[in-house]
Amino acid sequence: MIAFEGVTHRYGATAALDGIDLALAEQELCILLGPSGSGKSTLLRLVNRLLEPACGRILVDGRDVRSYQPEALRRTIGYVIQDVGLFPHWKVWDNVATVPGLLGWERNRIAGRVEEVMDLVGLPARTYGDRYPHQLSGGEAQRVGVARALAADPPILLMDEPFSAVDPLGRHRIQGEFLEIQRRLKKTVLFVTHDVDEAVRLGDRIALLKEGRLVQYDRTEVLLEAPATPFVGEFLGLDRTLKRLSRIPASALARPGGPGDGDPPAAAALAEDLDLRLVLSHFLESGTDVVPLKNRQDRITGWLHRQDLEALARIGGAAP
Amino acid sequence: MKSGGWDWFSLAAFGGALALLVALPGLWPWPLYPRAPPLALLAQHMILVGLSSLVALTVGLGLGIAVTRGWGRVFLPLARTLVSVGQAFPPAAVLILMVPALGFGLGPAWVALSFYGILPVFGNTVEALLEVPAATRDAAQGLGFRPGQVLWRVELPLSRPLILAGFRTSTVVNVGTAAIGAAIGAGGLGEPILSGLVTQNNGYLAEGAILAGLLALTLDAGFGLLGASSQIQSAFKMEK
Amino acid sequence: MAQAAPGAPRIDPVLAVLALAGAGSAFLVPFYQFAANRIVGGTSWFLIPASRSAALGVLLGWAGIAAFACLPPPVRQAAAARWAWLLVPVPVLAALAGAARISWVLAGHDAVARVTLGPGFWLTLLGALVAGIALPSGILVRALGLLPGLGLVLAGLSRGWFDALSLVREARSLGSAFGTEFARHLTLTGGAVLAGTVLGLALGLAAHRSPGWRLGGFFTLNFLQTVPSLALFGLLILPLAWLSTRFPALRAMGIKGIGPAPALIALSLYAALPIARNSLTALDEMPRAVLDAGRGMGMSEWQLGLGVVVPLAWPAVLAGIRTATVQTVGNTVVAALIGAGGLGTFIFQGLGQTAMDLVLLGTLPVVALALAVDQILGVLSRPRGTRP
Repeated sequence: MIAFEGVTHRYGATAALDGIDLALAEQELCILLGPSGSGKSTLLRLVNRLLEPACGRILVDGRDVRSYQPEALRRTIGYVIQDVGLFPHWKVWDNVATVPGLLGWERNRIAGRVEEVMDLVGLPARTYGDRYPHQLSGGEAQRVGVARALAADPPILLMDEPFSAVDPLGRHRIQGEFLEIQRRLKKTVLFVTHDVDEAVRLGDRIALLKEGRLVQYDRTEVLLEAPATPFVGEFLGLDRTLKRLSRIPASALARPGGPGDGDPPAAAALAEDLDLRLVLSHFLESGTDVVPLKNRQDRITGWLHRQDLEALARIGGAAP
Repeated sequence: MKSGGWDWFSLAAFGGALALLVALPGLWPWPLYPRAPPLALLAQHMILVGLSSLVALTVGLGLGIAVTRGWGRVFLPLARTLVSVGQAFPPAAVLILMVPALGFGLGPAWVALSFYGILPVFGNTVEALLEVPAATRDAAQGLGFRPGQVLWRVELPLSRPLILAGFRTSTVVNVGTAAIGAAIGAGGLGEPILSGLVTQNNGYLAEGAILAGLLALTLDAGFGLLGASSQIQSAFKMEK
Repeated sequence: MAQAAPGAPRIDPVLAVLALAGAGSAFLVPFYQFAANRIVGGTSWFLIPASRSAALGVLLGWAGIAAFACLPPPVRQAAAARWAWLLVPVPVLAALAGAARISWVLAGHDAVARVTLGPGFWLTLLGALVAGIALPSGILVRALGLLPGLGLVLAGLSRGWFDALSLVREARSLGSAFGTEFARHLTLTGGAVLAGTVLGLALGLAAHRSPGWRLGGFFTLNFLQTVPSLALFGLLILPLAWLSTRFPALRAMGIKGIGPAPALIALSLYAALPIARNSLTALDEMPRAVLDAGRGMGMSEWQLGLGVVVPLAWPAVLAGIRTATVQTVGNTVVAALIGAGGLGTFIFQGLGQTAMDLVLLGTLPVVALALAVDQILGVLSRPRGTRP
């Protein structure tokens, strides 16, 4: 869907990007991760031709982006940035309807789509449509930004630190909501962030950049299990195993067929969709070796053994 | 301050008074300037101001846009300094200097007023366009607006109050300078004033002064209604 | 904004165009005009036949600037590039030298013949002004560039080098009147700015403390500034004339209908607005934290005022005074129409007699004064340590 071939970009005399080769998988969320100055935003902006590479090429849908007319290309790619950039002189409704308007959709189709996409981000058009951007909170504004990007139903989304400007609590919430949206819509997303926790939570794959070079590109679990260089290990943090565990629901490791299956739990039980990091925390507190898992209806569905958890955690091995 | 309401009141009061005094010369309790009826003088004055304001708006806006585009940025510091130096030029002097250069009459006056009127429009256009947040412009480009569309649908609407404020200053100052234009043969409401001063006829003097004052106040109120930020705010911006 | 790198262009376009135009005008536009007397039309003189050395000087000046424009951008932006500013006065001084020479040749023996400065000269002056703005400079370089040239011109004037130029002859025929009116212009401007400062500061303070004053005061001043100055001057004459007939004491003080009194009042009111506006903004934007800290430390209101408020507000107020002064210099020109004197006297006399030299004698000092005041106050109001 999106591919970078030998991409180099210069800013003045220095190379902001140096020979990047990267091919994204379709319908997955790929994180561009790295410290500031690593070139991740630059790489993103090459896709919709807000920047042009010094060498190499970028392919969207198999075609070099240079073969598209810039504006036509951009209207087929969703774009969300950190400061949102909502048009202050337009109502929220008009902001969301921007790209369909540019594409020349007819009014009814636009109206329907705006309502649909605003419901998707949790801001019903009836209430929020007539407001102006300055009347929105940070989180609301960013949701509108996401809605605006999705309005024309583009297959690709480019997101540049979209949630960094939202307060931590709101950020957590909006990340969760975005995960839901992505689960439903399955866009091909290129997401820039410097926040490892965000990357781990949202990303199917992570491309880690350092000073303009691609250091490692893998599925998130693989990256967390097997960092390719000491830099990667350090960047991911000493708690990368915990991070890895946080992506796995307890139900994945549950052994069925224990005593009391199907019954309401006698002792303390954990919800089966909690992630393994929380389960580990429970084991550490309680000192027990096994815990029952329950479903929404409060019935036991399986048993999770501490030794299985520790075995899974140990698979990553020592950092290189 | 409820400026909307006040502007309507001002427009009605000053504009109404102006219209009345010009339409009904009989209302004046003293003999009027005989060379031309008040209506003709007002019309002359308004034509001069109007034509020069047109040039000031077109050129000032055009240059302001040019200097804030990527390719024009290199001229920005020079342009800003020229504006600041240009504003130190007394408007009366610019007008008077037309005579050795171009002679007397309406034409030279129009040139002087146009030149001088460009400065506030240009200055405010530049500041307003530079104040458009980078994120807004970036988002507009990223969504797929063509550069012309970014300007027309995003940057200019956001800059409108400040640009209009510059236009307001330019026009209102021009009304005053145009009055002096009578000294270089441009006619207008300055004629009775000057004539009154020379012949010590307070009646002519008052006629010209009152009409000129009313014209300026009416135009100012009109601009307020159009959404120009008030002169108080706009002028401060230029004092940087 | 598809490209990332900012950059100065390879050749500075403004300087290059200026230099080309300047050099071109040296050949294509008449620099001087000669007329046998005041009544007949004149013939134009180009720089080349008039004075070859002057032409050389002018061309060298512009060539230097053109060369500077073609230097690579990093060199142009280096600190040492400031010295290129010394090229700016060169074309002007050369043109003036040419003026001196040709005027003596053509009219030195003939008191009636007139040699005037033509469009070429004025364009050169204007071009040098723009070049002076476009070239990088510093206070030191500008002083070094301007002062010697100025000194040379003044010395030349006093020695009579330029005495064959009609402009100078006109000035001499005015005699002390020029000095008198110039002084009067300065007095009027200075007085109005002083009064305007007092009024403006008072209004700014009052407006800061009380919404009533804020609304009423500014409304009035805005109203007054919208009304054209000529109209305002005229309108003030009437009540003052009436007052002076009613109260002879006022007449004894010199307040008649026309004269400096209405001018001073109107000029002060005009000057007050920028000062009031800036004072108000400065007071409004005073950071509360600073005042709180000061009070918390035990400063009295006076100490707070003098030690904190005044220094913080001073730059904005000075900027307002700068605007007010520059505007007043221009407004005082109009005051001449109501008998207040000043340089406007020559302007309007000249217009009436179609004597362009008289007009120029009035206008040029006004422009120079306004620009000089603007630059000087601009330098003074810049925070210490900043490069202009």
